Amino acid sequence: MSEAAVQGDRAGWRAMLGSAGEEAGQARGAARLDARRALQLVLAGIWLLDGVLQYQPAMYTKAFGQMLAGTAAGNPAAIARPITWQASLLDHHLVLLNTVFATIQLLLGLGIAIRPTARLALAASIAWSLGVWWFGEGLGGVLNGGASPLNGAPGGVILYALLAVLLWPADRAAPAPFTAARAVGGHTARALWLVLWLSLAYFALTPANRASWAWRWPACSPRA
Amino acid sequence: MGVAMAGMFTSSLTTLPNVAWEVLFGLLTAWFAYRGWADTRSVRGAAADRCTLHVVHCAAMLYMFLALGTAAAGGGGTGGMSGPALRYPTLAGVFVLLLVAYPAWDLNQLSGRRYSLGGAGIIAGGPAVRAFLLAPATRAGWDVVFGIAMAFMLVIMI
Repeated sequence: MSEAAVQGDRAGWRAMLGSAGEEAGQARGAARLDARRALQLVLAGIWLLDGVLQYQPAMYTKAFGQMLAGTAAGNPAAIARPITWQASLLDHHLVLLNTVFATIQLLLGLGIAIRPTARLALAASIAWSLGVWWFGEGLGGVLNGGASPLNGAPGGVILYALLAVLLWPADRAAPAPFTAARAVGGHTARALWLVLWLSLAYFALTPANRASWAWRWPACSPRA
Repeated sequence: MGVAMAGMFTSSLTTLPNVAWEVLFGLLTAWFAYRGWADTRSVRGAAADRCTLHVVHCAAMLYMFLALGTAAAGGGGTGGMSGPALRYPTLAGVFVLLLVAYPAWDLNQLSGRRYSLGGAGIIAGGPAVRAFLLAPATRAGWDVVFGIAMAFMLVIMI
């Protein structure tokens, strides 16, 4: 290959890379983040992190199924029976199902991050969160009397669903007073936050949590 | 980077000595940091963003080799992922957060209105393979794969 041909080839690559960089620069200007989109990306990052954590070797052991089965304890039969069934199913197909779970969580994160699929991924994340809240967290212990803000009640994953609802990419006709009100309106957004915080306060004041041992580490409590 | 990661994943895969990887990733981290700093001072903001990503990736690899090597000095080997836990796990946590945050941010930028994920058209005219390899979607895909894989490696080494 001649020197001129080599230089011409390099110039071609530089031109292409330069053009890609300029285009990207223009695009970055066009794709500026507003507060809601930034929060959606935080949610996407959390789902990605969840997916990575779900791939850990510890999740491919029997302990994972046993942990899920343990969340059935104390719940009404209608809630507990599906949890037990699902934990048993997981026990038999641990590798396959855990890989599917982890991949779904990764895809939710990637889907929320990609603008055209954000709406679909947010909707799917609400459904997935509700499923994990029931089958993975036993509804956060809300119905078994052992719920406490210190042990994660009302369940971490239900907060993802709440965030997905509040960050839904739609705008109402009236201007929103704050970011979380853009999709559902100010009154509904405030009501949802009120329910969350009042539930935390309620769980903190239940008799089980007012006992003398309740504020120690949960594993030290007589219930554990 | 892919070879280094594969070598860390699989103890039976012999690549370069750890010291060579440490020097290589140290130099790359410094180089991309310098390029990012230089590009930030110019108008090439997009190029500076790319350099930032490379700095994070290279620094994470450097950290893994250094921390794993230091920990292994107390016993065990550095080959594969079954060796001793990393030192300075908080730093590993910071890298994990950066590595999962960047794909989300990058995919958002790439899927913006003017810059679709099927952006091979910006280098139209070149051969199909070259166009595919240089397409922003391909590059973003590799960045996501590398970032997630690296985050996973760090998580299981903590």
